[in-house]
Amino acid sequence: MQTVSDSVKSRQFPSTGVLKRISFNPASLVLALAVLFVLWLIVLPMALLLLNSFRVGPVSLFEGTWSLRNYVAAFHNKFFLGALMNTVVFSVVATFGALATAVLFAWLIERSDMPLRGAAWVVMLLPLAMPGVVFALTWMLLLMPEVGLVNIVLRALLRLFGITLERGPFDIQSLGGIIFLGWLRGVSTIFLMIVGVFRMMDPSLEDAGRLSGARSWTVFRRVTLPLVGPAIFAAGIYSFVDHLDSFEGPLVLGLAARIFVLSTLIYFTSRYNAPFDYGLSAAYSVFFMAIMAILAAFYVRTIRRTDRFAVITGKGFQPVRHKLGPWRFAALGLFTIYFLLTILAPLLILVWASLLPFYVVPSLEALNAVSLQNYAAVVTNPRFARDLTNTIVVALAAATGTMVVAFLISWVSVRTKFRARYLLDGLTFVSYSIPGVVVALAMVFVYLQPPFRYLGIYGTVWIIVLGLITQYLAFASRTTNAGLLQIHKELEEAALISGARRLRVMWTITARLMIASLVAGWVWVVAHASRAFGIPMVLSGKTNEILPVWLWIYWQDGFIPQASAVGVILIVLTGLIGLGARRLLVRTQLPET
Amino acid sequence: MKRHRQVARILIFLLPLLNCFPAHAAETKLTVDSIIQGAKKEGKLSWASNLVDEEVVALNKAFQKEYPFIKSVEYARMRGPEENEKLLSEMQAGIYPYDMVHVGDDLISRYQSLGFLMGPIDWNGLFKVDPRMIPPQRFGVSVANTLAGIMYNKPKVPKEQIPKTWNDCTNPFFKGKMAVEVRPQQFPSLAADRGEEWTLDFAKKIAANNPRWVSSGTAALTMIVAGELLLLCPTSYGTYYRQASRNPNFPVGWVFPEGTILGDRGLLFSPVKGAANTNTAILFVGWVASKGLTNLDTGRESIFHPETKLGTQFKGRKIKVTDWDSTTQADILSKKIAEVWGFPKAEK
Repeated sequence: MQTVSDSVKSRQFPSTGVLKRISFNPASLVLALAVLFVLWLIVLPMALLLLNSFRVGPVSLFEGTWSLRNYVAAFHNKFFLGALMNTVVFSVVATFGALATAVLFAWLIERSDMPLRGAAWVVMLLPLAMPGVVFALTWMLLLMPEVGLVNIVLRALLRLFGITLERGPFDIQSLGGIIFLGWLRGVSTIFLMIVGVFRMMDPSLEDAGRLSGARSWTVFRRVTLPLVGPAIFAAGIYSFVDHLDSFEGPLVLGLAARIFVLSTLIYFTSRYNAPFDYGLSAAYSVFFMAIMAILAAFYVRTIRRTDRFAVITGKGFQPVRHKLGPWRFAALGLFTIYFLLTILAPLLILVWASLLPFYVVPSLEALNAVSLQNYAAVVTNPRFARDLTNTIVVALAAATGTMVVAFLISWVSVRTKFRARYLLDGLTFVSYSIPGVVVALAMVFVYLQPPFRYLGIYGTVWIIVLGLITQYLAFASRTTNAGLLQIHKELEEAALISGARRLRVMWTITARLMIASLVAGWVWVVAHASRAFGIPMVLSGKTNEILPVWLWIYWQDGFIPQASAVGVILIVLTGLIGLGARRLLVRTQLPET
Repeated sequence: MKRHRQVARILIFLLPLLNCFPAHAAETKLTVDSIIQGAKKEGKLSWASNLVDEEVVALNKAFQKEYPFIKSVEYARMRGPEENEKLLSEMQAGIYPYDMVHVGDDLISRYQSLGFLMGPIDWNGLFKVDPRMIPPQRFGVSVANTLAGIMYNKPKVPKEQIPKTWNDCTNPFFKGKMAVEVRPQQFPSLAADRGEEWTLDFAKKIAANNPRWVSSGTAALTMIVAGELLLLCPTSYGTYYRQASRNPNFPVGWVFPEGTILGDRGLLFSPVKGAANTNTAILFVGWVASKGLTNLDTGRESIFHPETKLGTQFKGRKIKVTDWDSTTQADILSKKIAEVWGFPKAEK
């Protein structure tokens, strides 16, 4: 008996002959574009990185000698094993913590009747808007052993019970502090990677579980979790790597107590003292790439049997919300705690710092010094209008570009039989291990030389956009992969057999069904691009500077109040974009039950 | 293959030469008149350094007032080693965004080998620049000195505990409550005055006082202002001055330890060979180093210039500035100190 899949085989990629496969048809065009983008945005900087890891000498295409010395220096460093151990402990604990928190919150927002879900969705985004270094510093101000606001309040409370402490009880400048911040910081990213999946899940399987007499928790554990498995696994791997690469928190908090993780070890050995040791940095990056390649292999094995995870089928579905009863308010309470820890407390400190001529511990006396002077200084600076415009252009263009490219790559990886599809997906994933600065320097070389020089994008905002697309493609493709894996092929096959063209099917069916994942990814990139400074710092020049670079300069120069004012403006900007995205998502409104 | 590489190398070295015609004037006999005539034709300047944008506004305006034929002066901030790499790559590709840059001590040899520094210029003869500000190769002028000292929290450090000497930084009163910058930038100045052995021993002693390690003076400043930490030792006067000069009630005090005031050389302003407006760049460097420095108020303008704020402040006091050789070899001492403190370093 002929199946739908059999009948559309002729419209899919034949499995033999590369040239044949790239014969001109719309699907081949998508494939060609995906391959081109991967070669251009990922393989090129990766190849430069690999070459430079075997070179000793200054960064330049024609300088230095070939050698293995970078690798010897990297792995013979007596700090390497200790830093590796700290990194693994930090990454594992922070990832599991963030993963558990994000899964719970995604379920509460998308599948339960918890009150204020719309506000909670935006709350989940806001931490993304806060630059890592600002987040770490605000928490340092809150949890400094002696004058940290939280410690002061806790000491006062403990005194009521007869316990007198001179310092503490908490010290943020410790491995525990680094893990705590990593955990808090990781939740939003994972949430955005999985929220679309929770939103679009067909509840009939859960209903079946419930009808069989299973309790809600059992249904969640035995049905819901396995259904969203690939998305959670992908998010977990991404988050783990994100923590492996995490830099600002470990630098601000770990340095004080001489606690090193791999990223700060790289910074100290290759970037802290000029000249920048690009070769050594590249050797460490290759090590990261190897770890990523192993994780990517695990990931690819997981998604290979894609049909297992398709929860959106041609049967039509009505996602429903679970009634929590009195637990609704307990759930809201959890959110409130999260909101307090990740937004309210650091934001209040940031706003407080932005209103003062210099930071002092909050007190009634200090209120006399409060003014809007720093905001006035920032907003009236001619740089502000230019940087704000550039920031908006960069954020929107990078987000849109990233999601388009990620969608193309995911489509090839998940939907085609192209032999190198897993390589394509793996390369995209592994590219995340290349540090932003390394990507940026590679772009400087590439776009200064022919033929890319003739594109004329060097020194414009577009080179920053390209750099950010390269950096965020790994995240975006995980999100689009997860979204695409959930849509059963039968929907597209039905359209194809009805005579629809491949590109039309991609746009009107596939892209629309995974709109939640696409929007979530888009918002994540907007939020990150709005506060990115690693790549923009290197690629910005006289006219293409963006707000986060300005914030970073203020911060580095010790103008904390002005930096805080820019930080508050950035958070408001990202919050507004988040609200807009939420409205877009509401168009795919879930029915209230 | 080898031949291709040789050709590529030749091309790379020839590329900057194709753009260096304006610089040619500087290699021939320069006079103030010829420089001014050249600058009149150029009429603009683009320069970069690590000075904060606001710090150079008055300087740029004063330069244009002195030489009204300079219609435009553009300034860009250079931050960190990555930007230096970027600039070098741009210049190697024939793009010269700046006519004049501040060349870090550690980059002098690279700039030289790539041919981006001008030949010897008689700064003293042409502009009457103090010879102590001129490096032996005379490609540019150092217009700043970073002075070393100690920063402390005024409300929390009792008068009798305010440090008076370098050794006071090892006072147990500050144990666990002081900060030390992991990048030991002021130590070469100490070593130039007291010798390497004393400096390494001092580094060991302050590490034993259980300090909080900080990535920069500004990072420590925030914690000192907040009252979490009481002291930063040693650090640069410029870091303190930038904040203290803007805030009259700034709760942080500064001490130059007793005896000789120690400092190093900074802001090595150098016209770029191959750039479009080299005459204007030479004129600018000469003018800044001789007259224009009075328009800088950064807490680090050169003390060798008698009319700068710092120069006036320290007139008559004994000051020792690191010699040029020690300046360029500061990196070696930094690595030794990093080892004493137990920080990672690349061993290649």
